[in-house]
Amino acid sequence: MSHHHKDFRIDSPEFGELNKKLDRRNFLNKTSLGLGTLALGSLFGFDKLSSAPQKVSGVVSDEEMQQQILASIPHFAPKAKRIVYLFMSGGPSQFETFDYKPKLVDMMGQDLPESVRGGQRLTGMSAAQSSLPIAPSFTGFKQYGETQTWVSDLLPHTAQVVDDLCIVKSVYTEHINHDPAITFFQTGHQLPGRPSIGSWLSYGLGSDNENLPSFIVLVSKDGGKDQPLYSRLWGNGFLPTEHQGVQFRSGKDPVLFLNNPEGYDGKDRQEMLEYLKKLNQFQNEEINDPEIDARIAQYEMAFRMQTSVPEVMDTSDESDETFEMYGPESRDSGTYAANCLLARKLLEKDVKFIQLYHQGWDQHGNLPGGISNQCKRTDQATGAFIKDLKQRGLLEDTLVIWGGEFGRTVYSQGKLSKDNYGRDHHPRCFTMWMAGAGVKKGFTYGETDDFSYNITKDPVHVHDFHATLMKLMGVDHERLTFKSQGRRFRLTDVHGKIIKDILS
Amino acid sequence: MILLDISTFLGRLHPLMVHIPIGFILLAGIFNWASYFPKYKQLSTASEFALLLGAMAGVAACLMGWLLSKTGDYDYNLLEAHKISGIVLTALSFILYFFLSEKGQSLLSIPHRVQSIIYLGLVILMSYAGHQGGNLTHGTEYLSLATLTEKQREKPENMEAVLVYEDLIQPILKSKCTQCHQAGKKKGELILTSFAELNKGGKNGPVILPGKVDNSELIRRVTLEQDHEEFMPTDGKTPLNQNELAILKWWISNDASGPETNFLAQKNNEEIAETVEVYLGFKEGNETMLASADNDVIYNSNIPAVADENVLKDLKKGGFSYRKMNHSPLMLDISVDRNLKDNKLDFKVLEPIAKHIIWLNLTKVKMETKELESLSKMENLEKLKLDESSISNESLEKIASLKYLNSINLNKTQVTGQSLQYFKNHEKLKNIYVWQSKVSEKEALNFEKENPQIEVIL
Repeated sequence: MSHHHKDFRIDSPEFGELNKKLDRRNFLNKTSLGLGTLALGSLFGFDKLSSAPQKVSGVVSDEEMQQQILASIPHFAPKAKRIVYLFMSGGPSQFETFDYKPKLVDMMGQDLPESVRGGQRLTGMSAAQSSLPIAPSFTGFKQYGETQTWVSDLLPHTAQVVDDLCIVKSVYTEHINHDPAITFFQTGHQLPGRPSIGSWLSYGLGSDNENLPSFIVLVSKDGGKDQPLYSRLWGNGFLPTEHQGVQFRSGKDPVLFLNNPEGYDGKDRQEMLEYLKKLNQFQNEEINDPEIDARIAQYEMAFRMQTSVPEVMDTSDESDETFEMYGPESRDSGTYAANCLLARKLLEKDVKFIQLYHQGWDQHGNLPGGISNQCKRTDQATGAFIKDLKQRGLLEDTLVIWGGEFGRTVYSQGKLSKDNYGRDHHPRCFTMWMAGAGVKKGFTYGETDDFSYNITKDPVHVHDFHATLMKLMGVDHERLTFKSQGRRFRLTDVHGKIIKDILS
Repeated sequence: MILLDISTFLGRLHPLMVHIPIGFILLAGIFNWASYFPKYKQLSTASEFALLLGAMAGVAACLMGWLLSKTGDYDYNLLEAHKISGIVLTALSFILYFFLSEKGQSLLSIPHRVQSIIYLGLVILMSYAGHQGGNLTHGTEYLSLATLTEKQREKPENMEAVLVYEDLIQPILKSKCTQCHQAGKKKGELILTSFAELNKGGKNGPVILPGKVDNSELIRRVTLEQDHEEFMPTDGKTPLNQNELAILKWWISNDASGPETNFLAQKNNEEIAETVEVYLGFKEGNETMLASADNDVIYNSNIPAVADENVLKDLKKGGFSYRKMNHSPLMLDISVDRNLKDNKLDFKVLEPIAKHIIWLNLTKVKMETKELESLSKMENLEKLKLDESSISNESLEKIASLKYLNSINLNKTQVTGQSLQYFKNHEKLKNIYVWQSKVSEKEALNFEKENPQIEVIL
């Protein structure tokens, strides 16, 4: 065993569990050299392999440290018990949704002043354009609600619940392309490999319903397929595997490989799983791989899900009024509307984090047609979702988030005409909204300049958004860390400020 | 690695080792002085040998001390004083030993009386070095003349005896500030150990402006974000808690009265009386929350800080599941266990932790007198879900007396518009959910008109 670096076993929390299991008896059993090896071992300081991790001159072992971190949660009383994140993948334009810029009409076709652009790097798609002509929004805006908030004509249903929303117009990111931008939003880093928001929360806060995963992913089937989504966006990264998001699909197999095969009644399933568990445990005694524990846990979860998933997917209890409120597509499983309805049902089951994706917001060209379709497919269900949650009393302990990975440019990508144009990616400012637990309602935060190109007041970075979200769940983003490959990681890396002004 | 560990180990033996030269050198001196008596005359020779032992042990102590000085973050001035005095003491001991030996005597013969005086000098130097060492380990305030003259004020026994500065302000400053802001250290040229010094301020001027909380530097410094470089207390020392901060702010905004001001005689004392009671321990409450910018949540001080957590194990037996919302004060979110089969709930298990229940989910539960009785004991309850339960109109009267209640869910119950009246003028209530109940839209609107702070949702 000497070819390993001595500290290899001790330095990472996932091996802490393993250290515990390697008590002296096992150690003796496993080493054919027996007692002699043990004596030699203690000479060389292998005491660390004994059952309780030992304190060496006041130093806390990584495993203990990790346990202490988990035990310290919640760091403050949470306002939110669950989160639904309606991710509008592709980058919805702020100009045609919430950021009303009437002055642009008079500037139509003018070149975007360099002083406004301020050296912002452009994507390869519009960098070569000979001019950057300003494109006003083709759609009208009206004021809604007691707060008289401006909302685009494309979102009539969302406009009806605007008094419940907390609109943030000054979100910004550094990334100008989809993959890094969406990875950054979901995991706090532009490169793949970090745990996603839902995984961090599942790891830190555990589950409120052992019959369902605490992190569930829904991808709507009626979104455009302009930009791909990949399962690493809901991956667990270096966190234990059971904290990865579980995708629920439409159709007869909502969770893949969960149904019993045809011709098998499943009666002896439990017995079979018991034996499988035993086998896994034998294997685990030999190999001590924490992934085996994760696998045992997941088999047990899957077994419970054989009952709980059909139950939650069953919409026969829902009234016609509900379906009408969410719109006709809500009867077609897998659509955005149906997924919103399903999300509500999952919330009722206390699923902690629901990540819903709707693709198709990447309008580089033909924006008016494209965004109108997108809004048509999502607006009614979004409004209904907020209304439904509110009625049922779920909105007050659920945080709903709506937004994409970046915004879009004020200038037209490609040819500009009055009713047709495109917009490129824009990282410096875009609009998101939140609603529900712990955020002010009927509130707008942050301001952008006349071009919605730069933030003029109250910028909110993606890290700040993450920090605020965790705060609402009762977690201090600076204190939930996990050590991997020799350093401690957190969702917000070394950044993130809680945006207190939007908290109620 | 191993070398470092050995040096740390030996270094830490320094406090043990130093007592050996102390003993020997003192003994050498005593032998010398005792030899004036004819009975102990022969001890004069012994003193020479004792001195040699002391000097040699002194070398060892110096070396270990040097190793120890490498491991810790000691105050530079104190360390220098201790180091130099220790080395000089060891060196002088060797020199004296040399002149006492035969070889030395042949060079210069020191008369007995002069020897005695030199020994006295050595003992004084040794005491000085020892005191510096003690200061390094225990702090400069541990043993000082001030300790002798300091007046200890007893904690007041009741609210009538409380003096604002002596019992509230000075203890707060003492626990969080004066470790650095005292005559010995004077960080930022600010001393916070007395009212007069506090009013003098520090190197950037006054730290409190009576009546102007927001312009007082002292308040600004303790309420910055914790990672701000001007945040106080600095270096990761424990920040002020909410109660301490509230008291300081109240004191400054009420003209920062000087010593011997009775708390109850001070105007506006009722604003802070409850906090003061908690701070002085007259009343149960929590003061663990830190007053930094990121932690500006103030919890209901009526919630006891901790509970016997063994009771939590019984919750499952009673058919409930729980989630900890906060550690201190312990706040709980309780629901009916979703895997409960026979639907038999035992509300008795909730009683020991009744004051800690902040959120309670009783969806579909059969509510009878017994259950209501338990419910009314949960005086800190903020969110109550009774949707689809069998709650009756009349029982809402009891529920409305829960004064911290913020939201109540009565969806799909049989309650009528009449029952809303129980919640009239409720101080904390914000939301009443009556979707699919017997409450009509008109009744809801009327109630909202009379109680604009409450939203009725249906």
